[in-house]
Amino acid sequence: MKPMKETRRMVKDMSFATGPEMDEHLWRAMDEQRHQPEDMTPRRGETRAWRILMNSKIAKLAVAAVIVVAALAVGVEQFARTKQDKTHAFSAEIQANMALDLDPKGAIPLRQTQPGDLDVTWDGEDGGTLRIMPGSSLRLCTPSKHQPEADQALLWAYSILAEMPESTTTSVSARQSRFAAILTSDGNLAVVQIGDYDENKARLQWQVEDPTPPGYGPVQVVTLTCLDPEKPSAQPCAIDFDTGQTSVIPAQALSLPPEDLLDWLQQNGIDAIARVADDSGSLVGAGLVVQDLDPGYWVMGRALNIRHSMAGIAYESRDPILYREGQFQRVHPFKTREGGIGILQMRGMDRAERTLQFRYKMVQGDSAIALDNTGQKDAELTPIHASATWLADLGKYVLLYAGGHEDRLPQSLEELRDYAKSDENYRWMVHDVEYLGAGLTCADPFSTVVAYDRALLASGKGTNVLFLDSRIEFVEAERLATLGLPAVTEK
Amino acid sequence: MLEDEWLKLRFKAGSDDALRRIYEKHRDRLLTLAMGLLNDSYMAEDVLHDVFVTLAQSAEGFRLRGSLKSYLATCVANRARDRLRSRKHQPASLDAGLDVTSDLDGPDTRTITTEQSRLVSAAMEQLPYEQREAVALHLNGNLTFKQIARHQGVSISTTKGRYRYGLQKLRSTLNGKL
Repeated sequence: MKPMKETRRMVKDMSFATGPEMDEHLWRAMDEQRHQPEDMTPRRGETRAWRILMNSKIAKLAVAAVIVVAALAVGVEQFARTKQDKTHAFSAEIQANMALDLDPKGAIPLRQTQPGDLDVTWDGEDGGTLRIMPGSSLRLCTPSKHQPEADQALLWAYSILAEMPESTTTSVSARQSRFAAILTSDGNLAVVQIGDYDENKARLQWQVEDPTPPGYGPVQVVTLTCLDPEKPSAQPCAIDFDTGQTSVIPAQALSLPPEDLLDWLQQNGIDAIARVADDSGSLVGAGLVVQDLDPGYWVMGRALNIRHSMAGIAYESRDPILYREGQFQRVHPFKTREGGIGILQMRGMDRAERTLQFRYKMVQGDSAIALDNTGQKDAELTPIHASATWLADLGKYVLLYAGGHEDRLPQSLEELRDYAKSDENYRWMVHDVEYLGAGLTCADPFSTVVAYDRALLASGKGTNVLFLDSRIEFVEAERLATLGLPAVTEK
Repeated sequence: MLEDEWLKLRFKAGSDDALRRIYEKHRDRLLTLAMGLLNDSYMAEDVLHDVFVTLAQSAEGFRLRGSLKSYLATCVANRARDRLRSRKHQPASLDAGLDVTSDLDGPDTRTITTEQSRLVSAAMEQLPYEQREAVALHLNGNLTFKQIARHQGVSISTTKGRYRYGLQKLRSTLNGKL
């Protein structure tokens, strides 16, 4: 017999290397994933054999028949899809010692516990507990602190998606949390809400989505004529963001009392009207929830974050979205009455023609394709975006440095040379950044300025500022003085 | 170790170079691990494909406090389990029984290996999956017993037991073959 040590060595020495063909195939797949529309990505868990099997007519018919018969037998409900809710939503009652497959192809309670494609079970522990199938490699996560609202549960699940593969949680009691995010046996992301429950049964509602986060649809550039109640125009002055349609408001509608006009706008799906306010062009929302962000967010504002931040906001701002002459245009995330979410930025105004131009892009779920490259090509915004990205890097370096130096920030940028990810990155810091972190520690107020982009100040319109809490903010020229920073131009 | 920390940071910042470096640095070790778990070059390639493609798409939200090496090894183990589970539910080909050793026989430009590695991988396939996983994750994935126990959802002593029994059985399988 070979000694154990020898066996161990043989296993350790086992070596398989990727050949050029596999390298090429894998790298191409990764490259496509990074640089091409996301719907090209194969679904997780989809093997060749599975594809072949599912492509056969007999298998499709068999699966369909089983689903229909079983759904009739046990009463699985499928929610109607709405305009915004392009997800697979289900509800079913699960009983103790039953197993359930959360994936859409077979959302059927089965009356026997068996491994395989089934995902969760229910038992009476702690008053009622949902478990992923024993011994399965599924992943389950629960909210760590605050319970999300029902309409934000999916956003919460997306926000923790990257952590899910590391999760070791296998169960959640209904007392502990009513929500759970589960990576299913088919590689989908399921967000489960536990409804009424007792030790023997529970009502579950769940949504199943592709684990690919949402992206932006194409950028729409729109020109509207500013509305003048005295001189009605035949040119479009209003827009419905959900459909992208622009429209004219007829003189009869303009003569209606304000409440009736609002009703008319709602009935016609209008979200915003262009008009002149404070001697400048502006968009006035009708039932529109609008927020306000720094100019660089046109490029930096990721669809998932925008959707996440807008989903819970219901406050309808009455402030118009202004075109600000001679300044970087701010970015406005918005939410329509129908729940459509997007971001908008003014582009320009023609005073003679009384037209207002803006651009917007809508957040699209369900493996939306990120078609928008306009931001990256935007000559004016690219430096702001690049500066913010690199300042964010600087923020990381500073924190890493502080972590190894008793929470003390570096005295100068030279001390961060070894932390910089590239020479170019380091050169940029030394040439373009004004560093103010000498003598600071992590215990100083979070709002303390650590650094700002000196080069960007040359525009005279403001600059990106790094604060001690690693936040990057674009501060406009007039606000710089309040932070004790110079307003302009020295480079 | 430090390189991995920087790779994580740069990868999160969207660097293609970092992703390529992560791939080049870890691909062979992960392929070996996948082969130890599956003994099937096509499934191992699929697993590698899934792990790296998922990694590539997760750059933006990538947050990893622990070691990149252990994280990737755990991802491979999870995917390998999924593959095995889904294989159980697929109809077997009538020809499958003819291929009793491994589908690696014959010239294969997709993977590069040695005869001894093929034999060890085939011998590992004879082990019960939990034992195989404990052996492969410890010896090929360099995971600690504590990490493996967490992954398998069992106690450390159970993991150690699985590892020991696995090695013993492997020793008797390999005895006389090499």
